[in-house]
Amino acid sequence: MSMMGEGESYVLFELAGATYALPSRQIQQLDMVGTPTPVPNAPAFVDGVVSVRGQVIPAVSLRARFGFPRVAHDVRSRLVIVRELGRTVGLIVDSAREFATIAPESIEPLPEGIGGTSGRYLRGIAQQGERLLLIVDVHELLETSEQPTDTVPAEAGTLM
Amino acid sequence: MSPTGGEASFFDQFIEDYYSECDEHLATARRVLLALEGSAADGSPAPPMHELLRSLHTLKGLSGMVGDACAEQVSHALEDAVRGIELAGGRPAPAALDALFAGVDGLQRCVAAHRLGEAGPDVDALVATIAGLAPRATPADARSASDTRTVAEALGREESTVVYRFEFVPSAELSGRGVGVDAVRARLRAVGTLLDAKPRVFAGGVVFDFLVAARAGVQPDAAWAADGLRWSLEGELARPAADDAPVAPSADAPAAPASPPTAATGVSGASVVRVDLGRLDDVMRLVGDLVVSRSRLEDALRGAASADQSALLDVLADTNAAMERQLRQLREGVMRIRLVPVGEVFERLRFAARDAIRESGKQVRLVFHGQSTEIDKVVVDRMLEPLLHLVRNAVSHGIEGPTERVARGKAPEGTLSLRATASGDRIRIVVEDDGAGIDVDRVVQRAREHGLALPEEALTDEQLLAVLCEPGFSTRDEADRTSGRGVGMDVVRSAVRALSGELAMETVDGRGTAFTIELPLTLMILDALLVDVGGQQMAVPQPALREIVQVETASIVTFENNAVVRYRDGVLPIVHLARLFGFAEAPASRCYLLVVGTEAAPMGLRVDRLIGLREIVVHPVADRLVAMPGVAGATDLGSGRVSLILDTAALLRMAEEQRDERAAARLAAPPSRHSSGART
Repeated sequence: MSMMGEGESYVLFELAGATYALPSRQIQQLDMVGTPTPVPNAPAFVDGVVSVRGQVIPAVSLRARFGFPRVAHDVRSRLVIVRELGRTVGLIVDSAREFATIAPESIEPLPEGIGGTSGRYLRGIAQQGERLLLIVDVHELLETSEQPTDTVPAEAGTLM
Repeated sequence: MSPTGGEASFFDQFIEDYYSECDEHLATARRVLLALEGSAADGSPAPPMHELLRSLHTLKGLSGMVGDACAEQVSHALEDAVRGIELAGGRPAPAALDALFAGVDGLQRCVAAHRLGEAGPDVDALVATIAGLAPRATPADARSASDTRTVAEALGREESTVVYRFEFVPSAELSGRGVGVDAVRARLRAVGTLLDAKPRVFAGGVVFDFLVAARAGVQPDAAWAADGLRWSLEGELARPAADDAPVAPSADAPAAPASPPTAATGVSGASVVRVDLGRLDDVMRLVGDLVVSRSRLEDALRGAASADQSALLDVLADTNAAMERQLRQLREGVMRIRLVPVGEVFERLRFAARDAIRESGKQVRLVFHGQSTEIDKVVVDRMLEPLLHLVRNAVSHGIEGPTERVARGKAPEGTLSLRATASGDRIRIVVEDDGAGIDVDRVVQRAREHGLALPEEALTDEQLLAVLCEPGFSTRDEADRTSGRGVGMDVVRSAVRALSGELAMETVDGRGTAFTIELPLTLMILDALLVDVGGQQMAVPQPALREIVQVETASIVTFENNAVVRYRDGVLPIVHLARLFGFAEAPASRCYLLVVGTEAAPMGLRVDRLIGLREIVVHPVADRLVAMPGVAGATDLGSGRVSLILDTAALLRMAEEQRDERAAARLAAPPSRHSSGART
């Protein structure tokens, strides 16, 4: 699968038409997306909580986090469970079904053009054949420095 | 304790007693039937059947009293049939035995349906089959004659015994003092052998009749009369009269209709734990210690005015440390009360395994280890279903047929072992078979067909298990249902995880498969009321509830962002939970208010619907993305969907702060400046 020799293993996932990559070592497991239970007053990008291995963890809508519109979950939707500094968090993505090995030297910093909401949460970009893989910065993703929004957005309810 | 009022809670308690008794008697019936079957197979003496008869008889009486007509009908038919078999020498033909097993299974489904408030299953065909085993008419005199015989048999060879007839009328007041049916039963056991216990309905109430064969020189305690007990001397016990109407059961009775393999739904345990007296004494002693600590505190308080600061601090710090220790011990003591031997579940599994083994036509030996290992009652009850899955899977898919086994050089009889071991604060249950092992290639092939992402290299056992546990993985098409090993594995895994447990698997091609369930010994468990708030199910800890009232929404008065309703002598401020949480508000003419807070400052939490009281396992909601005030934790009710547990104290604080904020805002600025969270 890899064309780049030595490198780190990544799990690839799709979100709003682009392909993203998360380091495998930070991933606990991939799960089907159940129905998250909404938590009052949680940040708007949090769909709610789900139970994973007897642990109740947040389910983050990565679409909402990256500023894309939410879509209804389907059979391809996945919950990517990541571990970061003792925390366990689920990320809802459109699909996740590939592994890839990416050499560190092939990861380039983000070009100036790519920015926006999702740009903040990316560590870099790697080319793999015809496609571009956007490398996600899990730490930045789970930061809550921004003020939690007061209310659960209305569209969260319609997705349930 | 129950917020729904004294009488109702008394009835609830009684109903729980009923289910718990039914479980016990069903277990007895199964055990005797299995023993009968065993003796038929190896020609050993048949076990005496009075125990089975007594259980069926009690089941009939209990079912009649709670109005479970379906269970009453089946137990009646079973009782008659067993009586007929006993008269004919106590060795039922295999077909008759099948019919009896089917009957007990049917009876269990009746009880389960009643428990869930569902309509009972259709038992007409079953009852007809069982009735076919004992074709005699049962005139009243013939039946009472056999009743006496049963009584005598229960006593074995004791020649003359004094028999008392006790009558116990339970009441809410008595049950409040701890005098319930179980307590009475325990007392009577101290007098002698309990021959019969039957509830009966009179004038809208319930009376329990007990027949007790007293041991020589033992008499009832006169003080019991104050506890709703009355008794009279029934007389000397007569030796059995020779029975005059023995009728052989028809040896070629038609086999019972195959019952659907749904025993799983019928085997939930009752929420009653039988407690070893020693453990209760421990708890009592700890409560005593706490009382002493509290009086030390009181002394300290009294002396606080005069005593010098540092001496007072010493006493307080001391007492605080002591109380901390005592409370911890008390908690552990209560936890120990909740522990039951895991063997209880194993016995129920034996029955289910037997069905699966017969259906499969395989030879399987069941081996149990560590039945006395103790585990929390709630954990045990919730583990039953997943263990049933594992046992059935092992029998139907794991262990090979005798011919195949011999061809592989194994003994024709397969072995399915269940082992329980405790280590530290975890318990481990292993379900192991010596069958064919899991066909990894086949699983991988199916996984790829289903579009699962799999690494190229060979799967580890852990990865294999993850694939098997993919929701719907193996049930997506019919072929999987019979060939896959993953039938319902997702259900097994989610049940285990809901209890903060872990499921692991080890499989060796041609040698067998072992599933290991590791569970915490005890869990943080809470009695909670489940409610519906804006379409979301939420749990409210029961101790926080003062009362529940139903009100017309029209009677709620709203003024200046406050909502109140008339309550007792004053008004009750209301927090509209759905609105507070930003959930959808369903218009309704009535709603429920959960009254929380203090006597002086009560508050009503408005909810849409009450769902019921449940014992729930508390999971922390700790991540900072979701740890929000008002949420005390979450629970997984087994559906896979998480329900939030409300923190009523925090909700009260939030409501107060909002009121203060609003009051301050009213003074300072126009009300339109409020944040959206302050809506009421």
